[in-house]
Amino acid sequence: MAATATAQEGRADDHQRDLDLVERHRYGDREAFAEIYTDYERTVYNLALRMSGDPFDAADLTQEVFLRVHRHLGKFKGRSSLKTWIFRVALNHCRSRLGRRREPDQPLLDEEGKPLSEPQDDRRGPEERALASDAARRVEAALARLPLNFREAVVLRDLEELTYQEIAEVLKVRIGTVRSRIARGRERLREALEEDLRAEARMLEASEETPLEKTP
Amino acid sequence: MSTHAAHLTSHLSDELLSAYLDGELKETKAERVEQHLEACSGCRARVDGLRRVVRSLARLERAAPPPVLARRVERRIALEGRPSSMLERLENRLRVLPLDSPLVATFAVVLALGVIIYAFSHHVSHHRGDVSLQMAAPEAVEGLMEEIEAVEIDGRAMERRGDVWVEEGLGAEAATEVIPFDSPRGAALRAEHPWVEELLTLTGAAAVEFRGNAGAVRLERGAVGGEAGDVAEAPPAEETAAEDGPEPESV
Repeated sequence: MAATATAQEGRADDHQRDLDLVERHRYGDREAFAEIYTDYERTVYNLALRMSGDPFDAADLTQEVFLRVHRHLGKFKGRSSLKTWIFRVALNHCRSRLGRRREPDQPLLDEEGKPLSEPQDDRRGPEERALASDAARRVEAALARLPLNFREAVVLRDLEELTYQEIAEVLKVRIGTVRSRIARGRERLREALEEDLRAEARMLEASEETPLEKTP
Repeated sequence: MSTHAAHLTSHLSDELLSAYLDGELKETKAERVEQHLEACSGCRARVDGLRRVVRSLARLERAAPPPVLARRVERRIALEGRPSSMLERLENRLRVLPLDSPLVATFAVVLALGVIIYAFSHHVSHHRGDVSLQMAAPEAVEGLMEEIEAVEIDGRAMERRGDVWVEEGLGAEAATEVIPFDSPRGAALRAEHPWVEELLTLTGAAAVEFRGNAGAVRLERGAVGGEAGDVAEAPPAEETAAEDGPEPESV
């Protein structure tokens, strides 16, 4: 109960801060936009990177997204949070730019499903670290291969940690759709990664002997 | 009780398990899912599989945006309303310069003069922006419009020779190793020296020669790298402006 009340207060504070920032921006306070930029640069860049698969494109997309945010911020009415609004601007922009051009780059994989462009590390680290970083690469590659609708939902949930309600606002779809896209995206990832995950689980069990905990 | 209980005695759907992991179920429903999971090893295995996916995703690292990006955005915003592609190219080049560099002042002057000359020669009359460009306009600067000749980046003095950036004093070294941009070695080098990628992207050059840890190297763009460069060179604002139409200033 107390936690819920605190969360609600937190949201109210955030909302008030959003409105204050927008108001300051309207009155020409450049610092307001700078604050927003600082808060969301990394998020928008990473979102663009997941959508485009290319750091050059991600930097360009991020720049364009923030130009749009700057242009339209004065018209932000506060019906949603600034966070979901910025996510929406970012995703819409990525979709229109990338959709027009081509499908996002698929990483080139060798026979073992390992990206070819990855740097080869000559210094052999501990085996576990090598395995873990291999696993991360496979997750990246599998994520990049997900259909766009599923990828967006999974990225917003599992990487950006948005709630279902927030994702519904960002994507302008119903919560049921959010739920279904997340589930289907994860299920596809699970299939793609099953083998890797099993190997990883064996490794983890061997190294720490701790049971998997429930994700909070 | 009966309908839910009946529903939950059959196996649980992926949607339900996934929402359960996210804490997006009402308390009563979550409890029933837990009861089912206690009794059903099949669903338990599936929820564990999903949980591992979620954890693998959560462990992915977030990439750091290029350090110059903030300044790039700041300057693009300052230039809003000046839809000249030449201005954008100049701006693209200016943004590689660290603000605290002694070279910045020089280049700012050169760029500003270039802009003025360009503006005059094209009878540009819409001076709505806010970059201060009040400079005397000597005639000699025109040639410098073509390319920036030198920048200081990552504490190195870089000189542009045609399509190649060369670190100062490196030209004479014979044993320069040529490394394709998209090769594994190239990727490793780019990871080690992020400024190289920035320099190539921002100026559209084809190669960079510099001193790496193991001697002089030349990082060269292939066809794929070139494509990325083209994307970066395309002035995004024109497109944005065309899509949106003229926006009323919000500030």
